[in-house]
Amino acid sequence: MALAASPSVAGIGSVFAQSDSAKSQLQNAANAFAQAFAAVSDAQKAGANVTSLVNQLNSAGSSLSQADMSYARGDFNGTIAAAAATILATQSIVPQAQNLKSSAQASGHDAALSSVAFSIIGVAVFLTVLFLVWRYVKNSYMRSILDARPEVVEG
Amino acid sequence: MKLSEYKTVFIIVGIIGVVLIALPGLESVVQFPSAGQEAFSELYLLGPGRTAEGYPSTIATSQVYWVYAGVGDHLGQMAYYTVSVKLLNATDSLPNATLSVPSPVAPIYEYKVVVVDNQTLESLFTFSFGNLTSTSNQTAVLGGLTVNGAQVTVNKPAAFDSTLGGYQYDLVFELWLYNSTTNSIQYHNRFVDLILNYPSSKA
Repeated sequence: MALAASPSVAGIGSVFAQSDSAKSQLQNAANAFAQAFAAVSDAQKAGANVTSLVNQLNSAGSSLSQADMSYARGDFNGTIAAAAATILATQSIVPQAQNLKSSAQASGHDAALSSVAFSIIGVAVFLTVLFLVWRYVKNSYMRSILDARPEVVEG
Repeated sequence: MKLSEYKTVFIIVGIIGVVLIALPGLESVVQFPSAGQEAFSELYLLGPGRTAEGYPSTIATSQVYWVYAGVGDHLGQMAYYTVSVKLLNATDSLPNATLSVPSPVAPIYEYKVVVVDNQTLESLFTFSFGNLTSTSNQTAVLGGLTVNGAQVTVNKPAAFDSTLGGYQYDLVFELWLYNSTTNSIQYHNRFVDLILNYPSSKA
């Protein structure tokens, strides 16, 4: 009896092992996808154009959905294959997103610096012009006051 | 006009001018609060012509039907959604919008989409129903259906509805949103459904 039961017990053990492996691979794929999403989201917040990366993310998302559905159906081989495809797709997304984020941050920093510099120069020029105009107006006003002073006439 | 009045005019012009000229520079250094905008997501279904008409309603065996499910992101940032498709019968609970609770039925299909803020993404959803097996005079069981090319076993019973002359099923599309803080997908309290009538041969 024990001898007869052994192969089926081994078979059940194998199914459980495969199920655990598929579940673990699915979790890894979900984490990899979440990390890739976070990286692309950060790049976009930094001002990068992430259209191409979002397309790649959605493609990886299809693989992850496929892995989820395969697991729900009990197709553990299908789960492992789709999860591996998800991980592979997300691996190239993360470094691209990080590069885009760095570039966007650098160009954003440069743009901010030049904007601040232009503002400072603009304010200085404006205040100088305003001061010169004020001096001209003030002098004109003083001259008009002096010209208008009453003259003493001897008589 | 007195000289002191000229002075006041110059000071006012000076302040306004300095503020206007410095504003672009200030904007790049200081983050000004944006006007309050309502954050929300959209979930909608379009018929086969990608318009809000021609939705499938009466189902024939093995006939392929399709609709477009659209997801719109207006959350102020990029979002990662899961659209969960569930097959309900007349007695299954729909999602509860008041309590923000999804339908308790297990999904027959799911897909994930990442949508950029203020954009929408439409995905094609095809389905065909398999045969119904009568289990009694008043009930039948739908063994499976094909969703986007994938076979799904459902074994879903439905009661005969004499007013419809068939069996009513409901395809429910639920929207779930990824929460990066908890690293989990949470029900986003949005759903749309497609009521389908599977006519009975005895009707």
